[in-house]
Amino acid sequence: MPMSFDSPFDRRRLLGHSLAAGGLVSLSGCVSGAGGPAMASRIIGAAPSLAPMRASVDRITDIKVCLRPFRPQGPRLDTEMLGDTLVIHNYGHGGSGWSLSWGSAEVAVGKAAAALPDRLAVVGCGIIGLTSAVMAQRAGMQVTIYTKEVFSRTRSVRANGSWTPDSRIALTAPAGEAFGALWERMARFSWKSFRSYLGLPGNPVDFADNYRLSDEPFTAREEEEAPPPGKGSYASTGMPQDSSEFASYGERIADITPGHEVFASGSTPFAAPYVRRSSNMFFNFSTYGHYLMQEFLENGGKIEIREFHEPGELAQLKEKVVINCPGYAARDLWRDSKLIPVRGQTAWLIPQAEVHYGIYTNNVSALSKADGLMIQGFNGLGDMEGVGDSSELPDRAESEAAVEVIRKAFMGFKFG
Amino acid sequence: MHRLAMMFAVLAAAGSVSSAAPPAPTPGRYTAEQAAHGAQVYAQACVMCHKQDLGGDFDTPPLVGRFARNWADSNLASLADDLHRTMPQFAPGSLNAQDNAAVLAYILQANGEPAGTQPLPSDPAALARMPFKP
Repeated sequence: MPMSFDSPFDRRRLLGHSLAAGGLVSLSGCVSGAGGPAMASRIIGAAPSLAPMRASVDRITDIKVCLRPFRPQGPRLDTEMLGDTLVIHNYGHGGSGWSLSWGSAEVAVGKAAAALPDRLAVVGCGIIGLTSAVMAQRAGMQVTIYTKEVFSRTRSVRANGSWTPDSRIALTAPAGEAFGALWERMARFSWKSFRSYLGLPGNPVDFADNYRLSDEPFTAREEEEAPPPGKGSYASTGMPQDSSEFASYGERIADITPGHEVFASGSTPFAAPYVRRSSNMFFNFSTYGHYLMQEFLENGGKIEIREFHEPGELAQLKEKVVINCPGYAARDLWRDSKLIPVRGQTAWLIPQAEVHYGIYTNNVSALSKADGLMIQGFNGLGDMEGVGDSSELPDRAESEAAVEVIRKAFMGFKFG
Repeated sequence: MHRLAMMFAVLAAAGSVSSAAPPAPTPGRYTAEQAAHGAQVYAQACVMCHKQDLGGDFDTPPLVGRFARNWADSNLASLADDLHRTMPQFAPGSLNAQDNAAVLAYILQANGEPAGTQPLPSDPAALARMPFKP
């Protein structure tokens, strides 16, 4: 049940996609390798009129905590035999599960199809399991999902649900160079898959503008700081120690990644003097899950509520080919000690249909989604944020502080 | 039906019909003291997620009801091992063997199993001979 949980504004994205020199039109310098057009950062003067976000703590309707299933080596996609049962693993997508779900399912289903089964079992009904099940049906198989929870109660829907395909997906060194090409294939396959959900009723997949607010001009390129000496690394400690260890593959898909625009000072509804706009794809959990489930059931898919306690129990299933999508539960069920929890928390405020954008300011992001105004605070730790923290207890104070930051961002907001 | 029959048997064993018929010899597999200690550990390490009534919530699975169905076909060694390896979620493996067995006793009690005179062992081989539902 992996997830995408991360703000599209994280530090490495800035490094990869921002090079807007003050007052000048400039080109991003980090995108030349992908073969696509470089992304322009334009200065523009006209800002649209926006409805304000109604951020106040009394409008919090839910606080969700999730554990990203992070594997330094990248997601597990290998196969193994349990008795006479072929198990194809599909878990450990860190903060990129939503984003890579289709591409990863395509890889797993391809391996399953090669065994020529008529019937297939999928274990887990998070975004990876459900997508794998639908993909297998599209490849002609009869599919039963075995899961302890249906989609709406999996960890997947406690995520952020934005297009963040290389968020905590791997560490550069343990993943190795070959993973970059696989990642690109999965990301591009997913991107095209999600496009077929754009414009459908309920907006299962959508795009929104994101406004980054700042008191400082966007002049300096935000460099990755070198880790302090003696800090160690994953290789020496078994845990990542610095954000610089995390893999970044965004340049590979620069040709399909929107750039951003910088507004002339004072030309936006926001009181903040410096505002930059980009666009990002995101997923509305309820409608998107509904579409997936509807397709699965219409094609004869079955769901059996079942909890596995030992890996060997998979060999008792009547289906002899199994795609294994337990998400973070793989740590418990498969004793996968390589799986590292990465905690993230989001606050959900009453939905605002009139608001269709996101903002990022002072280490807090807010995005208006169909099922609520989602607010997430960050500590400025970059990719190290939440690493190794397996607490799923909500911290209301953390969310209230983040909501308060957004509330203040709308003080002095210009209406109309 | 088999599961339902077992459930009725357990409910009966829990005391709701204890005055009827001669008492069946149902030696409990844990002691009341052990379960009481388990309740104390539960209050320290488990209650914040699984709640006072062990019912869990939307995001946390319950330890009664659905839980019994999930574990009905397993033995206590598997459950004890799962508990020890994976819980508490924020610090897996932090319960010692004695506390782990005590929490397991508390869970059995909450699922309707009566206390007995022998404490629940922590030895996996002994637990492996005990089905979740006796």
